[in-house]
Amino acid sequence: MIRVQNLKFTYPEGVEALGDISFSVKKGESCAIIGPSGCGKTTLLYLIAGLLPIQDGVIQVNGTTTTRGNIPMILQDYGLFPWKTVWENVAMGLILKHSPHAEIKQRLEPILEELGLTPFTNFYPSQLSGGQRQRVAIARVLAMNPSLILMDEPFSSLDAMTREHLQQLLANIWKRHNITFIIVTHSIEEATFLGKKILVLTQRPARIQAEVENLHAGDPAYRSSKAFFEISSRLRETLFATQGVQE
Amino acid sequence: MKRQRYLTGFLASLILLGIWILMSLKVKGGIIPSPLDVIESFNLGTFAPNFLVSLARVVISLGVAILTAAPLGLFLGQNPKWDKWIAPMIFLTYPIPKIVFLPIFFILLGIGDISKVALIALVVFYQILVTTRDGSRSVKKPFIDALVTLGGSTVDIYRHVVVPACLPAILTSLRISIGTSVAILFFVESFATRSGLGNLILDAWGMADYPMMFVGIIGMSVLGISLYEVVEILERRLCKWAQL
Repeated sequence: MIRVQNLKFTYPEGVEALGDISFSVKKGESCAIIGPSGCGKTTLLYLIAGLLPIQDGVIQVNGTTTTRGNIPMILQDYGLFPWKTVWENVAMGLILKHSPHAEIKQRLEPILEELGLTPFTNFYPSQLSGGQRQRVAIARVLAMNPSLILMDEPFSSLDAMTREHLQQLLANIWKRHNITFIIVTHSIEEATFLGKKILVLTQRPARIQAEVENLHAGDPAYRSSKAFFEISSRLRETLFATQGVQE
Repeated sequence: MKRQRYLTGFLASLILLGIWILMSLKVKGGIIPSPLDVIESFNLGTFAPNFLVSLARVVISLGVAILTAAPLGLFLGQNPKWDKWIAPMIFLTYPIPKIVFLPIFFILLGIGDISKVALIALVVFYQILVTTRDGSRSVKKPFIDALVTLGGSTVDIYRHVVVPACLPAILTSLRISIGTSVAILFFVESFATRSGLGNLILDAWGMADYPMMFVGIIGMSVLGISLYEVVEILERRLCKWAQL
């Protein structure tokens, strides 16, 4: 599905963000990327989304090079348009494709229902809670019927309860729709719960410090299992090692 | 909310009317006529054509200014490379009082309506341009990134992000411009014209017909307030999200 090979990136100001990154994600797999603050996680995601130009290396999705506007992405602060209603926000990708109104309606209604947003279709984002806004952002990418979704710390500004609830919702969507996910997070527990594959990045310029297989990701019972704590501890140790911190 | 707005508006009008009556009694020589004298000298046949001419001049000027300044401001705010060259020109010419160009406009464009409209449009052009450019500059990049990842083109970025994000700023600049344009209107109607409220005021002043002069002054106020109210309605309809 996704193949990233020898990817390097340096910002025009001379900041070397990515050292040499290579990994692959299979179709329907979820991949969590975790690393120290400012290590280049978001840069990596922006390169996959085509929001930054590839300078060195290869990114292929389904065997072809990625281009701008092909992969929907959920941004850190949801990226919802404050001037558009929930309906207009969710429909935006389809509006941009000039889809007929009837098709938009047919596509949106079950998604809004699934995410519990039907009563809020005429609301503006500022009238919603943080959790509801994030659900709108998820609905907006689902409306595009994507095979791959990128997420940049999607739950970072939510309270613990809402965060866990949405993590579970996302895991359910992942299983039900067989979508490939790449999620960037700074939360070890979030990475452990959502990533079937977890990549731990080093300090900038980022390289892959460890690649962890995490078979039970997304199972509701997994969060309270021994394996969950073991994987989380392993990730914590690896992360601390990348930062030179001793437990 | 709406009721309270009307009530405060009504009370403010009553206070202003009271001040006017008081001043008409205190100021000697009939320079400030009483509201009753003004009503008596009001003649729709004289007032309406002058009011409509002034209204047309202001509306066309504002239209020309917004149709040129807003797109340019939106573009410059999104294109720093162009703004780098244009910004110094704006910075250097913005403080110049544009009304000093009236003689040049009269020479170049004639003494008819075109030169008057052009001068008002030039003055408000700057106000709208600077506010819109600043609004466009401050559009947050994540909104643009979000639209791009959904498949948006450059035209879509302007249509769905930049224009709606800047609309409150554009309407605010338009509201400010109304006051300015009415002031400039009075100035341009003082020269080479036999129509418009400015001319009506100056004519009445020349003949010491103070009640008629006040008809013109109130006409100018009504003109400004009406346009202001139109922009308010537009803002309420187009920028519901910004008022939540």
